[in-house]
Amino acid sequence: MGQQIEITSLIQPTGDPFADVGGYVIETLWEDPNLKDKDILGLIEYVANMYINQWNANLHAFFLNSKITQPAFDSKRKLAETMVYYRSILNETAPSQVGYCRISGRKTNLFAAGRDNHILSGSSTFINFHHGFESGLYLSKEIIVRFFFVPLGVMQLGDKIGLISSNNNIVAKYYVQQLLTGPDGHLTTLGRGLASGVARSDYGIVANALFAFADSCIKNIRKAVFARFDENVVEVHDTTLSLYHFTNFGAKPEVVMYQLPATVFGFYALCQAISYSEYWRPFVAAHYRNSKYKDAKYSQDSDTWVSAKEELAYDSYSTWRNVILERLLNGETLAPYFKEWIRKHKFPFQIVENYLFYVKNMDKRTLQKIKDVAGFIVSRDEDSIKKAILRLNRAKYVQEVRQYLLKLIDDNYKTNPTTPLIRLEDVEYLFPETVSWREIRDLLLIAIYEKLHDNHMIVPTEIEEQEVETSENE
Amino acid sequence: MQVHVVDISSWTASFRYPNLISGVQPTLEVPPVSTVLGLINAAAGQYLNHQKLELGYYFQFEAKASDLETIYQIDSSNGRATNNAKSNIIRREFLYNARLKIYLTDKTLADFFRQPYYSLVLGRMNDLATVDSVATMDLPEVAYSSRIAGQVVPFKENHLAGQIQALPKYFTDTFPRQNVGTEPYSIISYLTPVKGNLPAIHDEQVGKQGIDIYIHQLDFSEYD
Repeated sequence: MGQQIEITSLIQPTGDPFADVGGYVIETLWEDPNLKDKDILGLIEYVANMYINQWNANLHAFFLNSKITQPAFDSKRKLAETMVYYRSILNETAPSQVGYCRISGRKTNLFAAGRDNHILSGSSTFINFHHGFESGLYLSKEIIVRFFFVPLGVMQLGDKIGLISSNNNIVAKYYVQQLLTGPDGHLTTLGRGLASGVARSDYGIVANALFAFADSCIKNIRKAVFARFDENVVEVHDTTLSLYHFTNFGAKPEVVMYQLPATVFGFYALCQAISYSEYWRPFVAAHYRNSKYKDAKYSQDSDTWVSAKEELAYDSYSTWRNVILERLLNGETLAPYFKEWIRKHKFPFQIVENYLFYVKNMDKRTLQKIKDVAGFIVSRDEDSIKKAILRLNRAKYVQEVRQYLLKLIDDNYKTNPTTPLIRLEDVEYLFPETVSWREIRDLLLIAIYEKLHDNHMIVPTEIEEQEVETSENE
Repeated sequence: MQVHVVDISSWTASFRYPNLISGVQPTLEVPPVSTVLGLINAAAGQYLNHQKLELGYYFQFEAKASDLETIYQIDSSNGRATNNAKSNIIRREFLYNARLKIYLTDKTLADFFRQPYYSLVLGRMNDLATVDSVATMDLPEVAYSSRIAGQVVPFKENHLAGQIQALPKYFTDTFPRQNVGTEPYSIISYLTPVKGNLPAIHDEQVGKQGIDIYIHQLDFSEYD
């Protein structure tokens, strides 16, 4: 066909999440034995046929009035016009100008990109948003072609489309590979005559979808996630997941971005390590909620949610909202949830420590001081431990916690005049500016409960079940 | 390493994604290199034809929020703007209480900020910024950075964690302006520090634990 196109420019990561997903789709299609001999125009024709004949040209969330979504065209014309358009781009007979591509940075012939061939670039009414009133973004032909393949590398997630990208190229490509060649992938379902449109996520909630993908990476592409994984040492590569939740549909184009930072991904991966997963998994599972199953209770023994009428396994309840996953994604503290959980369940303090170091970036000296104070409290008689737990739990103001700590310092001094419980220099670590007093109070209680579990001590504290406090501004 | 450090602050800041135009304007959590070079031009009062340039910077903010903004979309006819403009409303994200520290090895560039020629803005024209100080410091160099945050770092060969985005380095002074040196960058928010294992300079005065500043080696000679 004679078109000059650089293959590396079609598949090499550019940094633009949409162009990169398109590139991974092209690369994965070329890895299929049935498609490996097709040139890029052949791939465009193959995919255009799929969009038109299997998906009923339903690309409205991506391209407005493209050759495929144009309602005035019948199927044959949709295909013919699509091929004419992309052939003109590849042969560079379409109107173009020389310049630097906005995405690849290459100096080459550039073509206008608008809502018909690009996602969220705006329509012709946005000319004053482009340099010198240009009629769109100006992109190289390789980038324009990549965008055509994006619908195969994303999934319907709730009311919008979800696209996942990552700084870890293996992880980013794995997401697209699953959508194409996984058990329910486009290429697989097309072979069975079942292809019908954009892949649908099992989850309508962004946090669940992101962590489910993290689970899949941790399970299936372990070498890409872990730098080292054995019984003694678990090291995680720095991997960030970015989810673009978007639609380019009609009058309401929109994009919302979510980041799962490397610190959170690393902590989450660490929690799946052999020594932690048996404690971490029930902690997360017990925090799913669904208003239709208000009477249901989580059973750790069967890993199911049980209501009066039915018993729901992981496949069912994992689509419910989960406050732990949402808080991890939104950067909100888990300390109050750890505190409530550890009261009744054995839970290694190392998980809390890892959370504080990796996710909350807490100073080790702060944690050591909390452990020292908790150790002192638990070393005392049962009545004193009970009073400590109740007093800390009931504290509504930071002064109450401070007064109690002063009392502990005094108690320690009376029994052990040689070693102070808290030194003056420790105060800034025990109450750091960046951490709320409530969080410190919760961590103190977590450390106390952990030591009680370790010592097999049952202290009847008669604390009522309470809604977890979420305010962090006091 | 001797560097000239310019401290800039603003109530609000907003750095749009270069290729997201419609519906909503999210903000990057760190400005691209081109934005910082634009600030230097604004302070200088002229377009500067850099050849080789060393530049580092650090950006932090207190909160991120969204605002509704009226925009005007100008109609076009045969590729030319007309006098018809239609108002519309978009949601624009902005950063509150922003601070930008620019590290320059060229004193002349830093001196422009002592008496900026044009107003300095961190984003749009209402994101007015103030120069708080210009100082010369000797900062230690580290061979392997352990704490990089509030910066963008070229993605190629480094693969640092963070959001990956294609960002320009500079714009030409031609009409229409051309983006120059666009390549993938890791955008590392000040909230999520990462180990870089890159050569950097260490500024212990940033944050509680100090920050390693990556120095961009910019070469614009090929764009002459």
